[in-house]
Amino acid sequence: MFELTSVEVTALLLSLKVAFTALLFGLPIAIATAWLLANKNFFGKSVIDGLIHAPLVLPPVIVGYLLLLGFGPNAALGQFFSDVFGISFAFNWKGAALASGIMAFPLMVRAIRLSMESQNLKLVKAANSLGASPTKAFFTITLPLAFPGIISGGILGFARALGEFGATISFVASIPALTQTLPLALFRAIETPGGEDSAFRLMVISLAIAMVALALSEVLARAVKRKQGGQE
Amino acid sequence: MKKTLSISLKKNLGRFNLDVSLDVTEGITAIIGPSGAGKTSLLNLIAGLMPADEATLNLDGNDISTLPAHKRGMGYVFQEGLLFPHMSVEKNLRYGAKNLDKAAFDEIVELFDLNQLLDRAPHTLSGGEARRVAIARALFSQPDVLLLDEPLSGIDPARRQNFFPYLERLRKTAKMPVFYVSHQMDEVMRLADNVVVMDRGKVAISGKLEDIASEPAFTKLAGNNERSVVLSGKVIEDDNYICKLAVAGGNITLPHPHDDTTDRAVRVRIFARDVAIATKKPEDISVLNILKVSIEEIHHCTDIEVDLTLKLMDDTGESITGASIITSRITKSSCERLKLTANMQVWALIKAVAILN
Repeated sequence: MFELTSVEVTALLLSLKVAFTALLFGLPIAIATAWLLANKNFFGKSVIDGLIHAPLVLPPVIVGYLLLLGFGPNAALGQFFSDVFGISFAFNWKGAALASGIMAFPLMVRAIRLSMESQNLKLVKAANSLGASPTKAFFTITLPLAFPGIISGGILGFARALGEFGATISFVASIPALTQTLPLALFRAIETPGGEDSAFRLMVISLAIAMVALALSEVLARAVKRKQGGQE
Repeated sequence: MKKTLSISLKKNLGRFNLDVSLDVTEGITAIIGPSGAGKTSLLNLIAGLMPADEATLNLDGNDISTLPAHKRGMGYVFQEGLLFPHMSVEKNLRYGAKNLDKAAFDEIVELFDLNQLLDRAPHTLSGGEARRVAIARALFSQPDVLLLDEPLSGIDPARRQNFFPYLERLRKTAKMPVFYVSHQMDEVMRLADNVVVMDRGKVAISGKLEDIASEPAFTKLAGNNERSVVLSGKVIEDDNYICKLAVAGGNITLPHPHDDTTDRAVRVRIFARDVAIATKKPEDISVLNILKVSIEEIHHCTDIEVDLTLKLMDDTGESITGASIITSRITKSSCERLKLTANMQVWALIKAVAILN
């Protein structure tokens, strides 16, 4: 019964590609954003904060629709990306990665920001007084101390990206082999008469990935904690 | 060449305006004063961790006030120690170290007894150990100036005594200006070469410890009503039971046999309460130090007590230029009974002398 069909394997691989891409691009931006929000005060900070958190509170369909308005082939941002970087988001896996990355972004930012705000900000000053430039202090003090938050934010974000459904289907539709990720394939299977076996298998795969991700985050978090000892 | 730091700093701190101008050279300069006087703010301004409204910081002829904190060469030991929790002690020590050779590394490790601690994680250290690492870490960055913010705060009183030898070693080896913020008089008396008393953001008094220790304003602002003087001198005679210390204008006899050879520089503190006055030289008395002095000033400090400022003289009653000053606190009634007046020559009986270092 547990022989995966080629459609299911394609969906699985596509999902992993989408989620990893979302993580790869989302995490550094999330770290930078979290640092800004945790350390700096600037005009419009609450607006930025609200925009970042919007995907958490908006129905995903709306996020997908907004993406379609903004990043569609004829929309301004879509034009910009295709002119400057030669990247098109329309109805391909890159669009799926963008949609799931945006949905996962607030979760990553929150976890990382929390771990940065719990740090003693004076440690950076101590590093400065020892001759470390702000950049060196960030990479040697702030970032390593934020590792627990980066790990949990990364895992949360990865899981969220993997499970992303609403924004993806409204932005790039559900096209097998192009944009049909695991949840979309699962939904298709449930809707299709006789697709119960397929739906069950996809559900088991999704569960397994989620468990592995959680276990991995636990192991990493423990390793970091052991290394950093009782953090002040 | 001696390192000199001239500072002139202004900053509106909300509660008051900080306005400090100072010249500091090698040795320990204690910054004391009531809490909230702006002592830590002063260190932050010097270190560049807080922007000043107006600043001139001249280090050996170079203005460093426009440099960012990490280029100023200020070794800052924070009150909390602030070791990096994710690094071992050794990594902490090496964090700011620039091309430090092994001998220099070992020397500082030795100085602060850190050999056993190098592999430990900061959270396993005791308060005193962490503080030692913090001071050593600052020294490893080879700073031009060292800023210590209450390095003994938070260390329990029993262990504070064990910590003094490290600071005394620092005092002897650090060839740089050291700012030492403190509110403990015993630390200041033992360690400081110079003292700056701050009050509401301004320098109330500053000078060599010996020169200002007897100022009533110093003891009052230092939050300590025990008036005292600090004298520095050299050991000139040392036998098994007593040693003689030559100070400006006379000798002080100490009951402690000194473990060191003669010629050693020693500082002693004499509390005004431990100095009694006699108009005739007493004989057959156990007090070791009976010194001829002239009364320079009589200061009515409370309703029942007076403080006398006394200048050492030689035994024949000749005044000596530059002679040491000691203070005596006696009751007003004794003062009246003995008919003490300014310029009168009397005998000072020093009942106790505390050796500082």
